[in-house]
Amino acid sequence: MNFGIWGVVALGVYLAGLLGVAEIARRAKKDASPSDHFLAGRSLGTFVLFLTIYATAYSGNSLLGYPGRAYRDGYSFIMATGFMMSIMVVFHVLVPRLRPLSARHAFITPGDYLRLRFGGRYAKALRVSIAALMTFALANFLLAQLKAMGDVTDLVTGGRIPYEAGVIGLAAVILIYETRGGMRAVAWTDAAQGIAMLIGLGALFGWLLSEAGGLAEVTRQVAARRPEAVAVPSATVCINWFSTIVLMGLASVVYPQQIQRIFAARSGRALRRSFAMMSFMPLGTTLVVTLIGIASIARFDIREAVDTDGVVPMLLAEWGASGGLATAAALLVFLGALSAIMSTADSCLLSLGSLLSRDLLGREGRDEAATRLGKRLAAGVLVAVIPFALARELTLWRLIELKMELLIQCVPAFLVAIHWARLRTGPVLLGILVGTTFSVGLTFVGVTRLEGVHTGVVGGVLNVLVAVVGTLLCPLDRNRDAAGAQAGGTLST
Amino acid sequence: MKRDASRRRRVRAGCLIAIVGLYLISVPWYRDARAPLQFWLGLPDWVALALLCYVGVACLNALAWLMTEIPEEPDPVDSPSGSERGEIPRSSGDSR
Repeated sequence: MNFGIWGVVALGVYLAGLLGVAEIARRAKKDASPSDHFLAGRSLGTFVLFLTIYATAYSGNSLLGYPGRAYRDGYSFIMATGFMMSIMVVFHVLVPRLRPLSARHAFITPGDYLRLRFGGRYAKALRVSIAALMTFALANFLLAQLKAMGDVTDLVTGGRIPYEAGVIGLAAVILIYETRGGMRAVAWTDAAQGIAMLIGLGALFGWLLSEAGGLAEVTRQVAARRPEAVAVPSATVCINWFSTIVLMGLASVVYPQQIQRIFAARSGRALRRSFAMMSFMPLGTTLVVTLIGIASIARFDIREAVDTDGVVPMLLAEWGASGGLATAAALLVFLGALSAIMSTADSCLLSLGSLLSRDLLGREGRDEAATRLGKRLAAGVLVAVIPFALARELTLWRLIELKMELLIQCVPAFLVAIHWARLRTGPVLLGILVGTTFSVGLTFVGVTRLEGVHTGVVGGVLNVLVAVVGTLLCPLDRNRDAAGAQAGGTLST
Repeated sequence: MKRDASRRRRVRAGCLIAIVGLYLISVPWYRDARAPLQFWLGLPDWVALALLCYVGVACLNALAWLMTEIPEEPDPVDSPSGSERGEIPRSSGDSR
């Protein structure tokens, strides 16, 4: 695909637009506090909140990794629509209790909740452990976005801006607008990027269906070319389907950047409406990218798994080659994909800054120095991740799974602790150590699933068991449990 | 007022239970993998069924969110002018 000079021009205009938004966001800042920088002064209303949650949740993985996976697995990857929806379902367990606490105690990071909820001699170790897991997962996520940014830039500009320059250049742009405008710049650019993504995907899917002659024809062609892609899934695939719904639903809820959006909402009402709208987005996004990947089975013959992440660019190349309006539309879709990638990367980076400074290093101040430290740390992580992004061997899907298997280990400290006042610090910490060691250990020896169940999910179950049984074995302490109930939210209203 | 709140809670709980049921149906674990394929809505029948379940999940989940009560709180005091250091208030003991 070669958009020629128009690809470079469109990319330039798009990036200039992002920097313009960052400048407006910088002027809208009220002060230099971490709350204003990392949470936009807790001012996000329904519409911007919805679009920023949407653009953050749907990333380079969604637009490039998911079609690749659907191409490899066939119709069974319809599970993706279910697991993306499960995220908004699992939030029911967390949001109604966490939001009032965050408003009352002015949380900035997930660690602020842990600081309130857990005490005793293991409290710091617990906070640091969770912050380390979240940091690693976020850095992993950021890495996936950087890789996708390099690929898309290379394609949009027809190689005029090569992969390496795309990774470094776009990372620099994100760093500039995130540093200048903070959460406001991220949320506002996310809103524009979310709209671009929706329009782009819809246009691509419409073209694909009209080319193939409708959905039924696509299914017929896929069945003829690769019958196993339409067959009823085996028992192992069904187990994996359930496992992925559990893994993605639980782990995505403890994404630091999503938790911070709960804190950044203007009100509980705005949050409630945003989540209600988000419930439908997997149908307009995940389902569409899944069908795009499946439709590609009938068009391409890709042998190497790592090359399947290129399904969408290959389709766009075909679309754009017909010239005229189609080329312009394909270019718009590329920019939509780039928007999705950048909107996720900027949210990761913003979260990383606050997470590293407050939760990992324990700098709890709320002044300008704390904000500055967060910005510097985010920049440091970005620079550290870039060399890894320049290596291109891993598929995007594998990167997502690695991150989820770590994040799910944080679940007891949030989802269980907020409902169960008795849950104790020591057992939660021990549970995390057991669950993480189990999941990472098996991953290192090459075992990613046990009978179709993700090792992260099995590790998560072990983790919860250790936390719950450990707590039950601790002697009852009425004073402590009453205090825990307040922090857990059971007495909060 | 109390009755309305109680009705909202019941509707929400009902939606969440139905969502779990739809998730169980959406995965074709009960289907014979060797069964002949039927096509429905241009899709293999087990895919169409999964998709209908997910449409149901989306509608019920949206309703459940609209029925969710999230108590409004006064603005927190967290800017430098309000609480310069701003540490989270702590209580003693294991669980705070």
